[in-house]
Amino acid sequence: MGDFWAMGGHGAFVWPAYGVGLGVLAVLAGVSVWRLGKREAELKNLQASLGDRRCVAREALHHREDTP
Amino acid sequence: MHRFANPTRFLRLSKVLLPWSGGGGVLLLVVGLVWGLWFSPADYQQGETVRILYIHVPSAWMGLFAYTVMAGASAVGLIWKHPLADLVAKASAPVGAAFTFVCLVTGALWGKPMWGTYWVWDARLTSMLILLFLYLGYMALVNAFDDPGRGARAGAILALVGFVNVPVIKFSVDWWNTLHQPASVSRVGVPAMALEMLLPLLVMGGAFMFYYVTLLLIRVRSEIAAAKVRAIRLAQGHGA
Repeated sequence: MGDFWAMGGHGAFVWPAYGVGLGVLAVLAGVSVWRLGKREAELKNLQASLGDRRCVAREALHHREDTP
Repeated sequence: MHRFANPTRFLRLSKVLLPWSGGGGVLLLVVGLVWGLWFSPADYQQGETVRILYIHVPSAWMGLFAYTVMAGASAVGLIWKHPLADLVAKASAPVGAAFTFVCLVTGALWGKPMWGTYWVWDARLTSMLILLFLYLGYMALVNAFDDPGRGARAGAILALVGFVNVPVIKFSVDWWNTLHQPASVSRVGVPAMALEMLLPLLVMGGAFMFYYVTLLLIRVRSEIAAAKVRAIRLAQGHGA
């Protein structure tokens, strides 16, 4: 196992290459997923508040029709 | 293809595809890493450093592939004014930039023990660095406009002009006498690589392709959500 980590004396090049490579790809994936979640939540909130406002408007309309 | 280019259809299709592309990517990555780092043999000349190949070469392939997708989508966006095409181009850029960056860093870490230097201004290395700058320039340009349509148009022109760099990178090792070795996988005839190295390389290439598709789907979904938020805000702004 020690041989494996030593990589024939070139471990100082092989492991950083994999560390940086996979690290960069993992961070980009994490940021992309986080941003998707944030934007979809924002959209949902906006759509919900729009829906609420439409309900309020409709109720107000009904109310006006009810009162002579 | 045009049928899938409708944002609503895209959202539905990408939801089905995402678990498969993500899961497939993780699976191939695990297999490729174990195979490349443990089971594949050391090179008779390069020793264990040859294992950097399994991350360096797939990231170079994907850096070029992502740019090609970006330029292709930019052309479609410019010519047919397709809204999804602009989003695909925009989503592809950071992923391609990440691959290109990984390619440059892993190449430097391979160059030091094999060539004795982290960097040389050789045609292949320099043209790859230009690719990274093209990505960064594209991303800066697209985000520099308040109107996303204008940003996409300016970016598309840069992406198309910069596409000339892609064949330059590909053929740089043939056109110039460079320190970087020539192609050994896509040679006409038999590849100049032993099968026990070629197979883990292809598995890692597959893993990176799945990663790219997954991130492209996620980022296009994210752009669609952002566009809808912007549209609602604009409508509210006008209504008030």
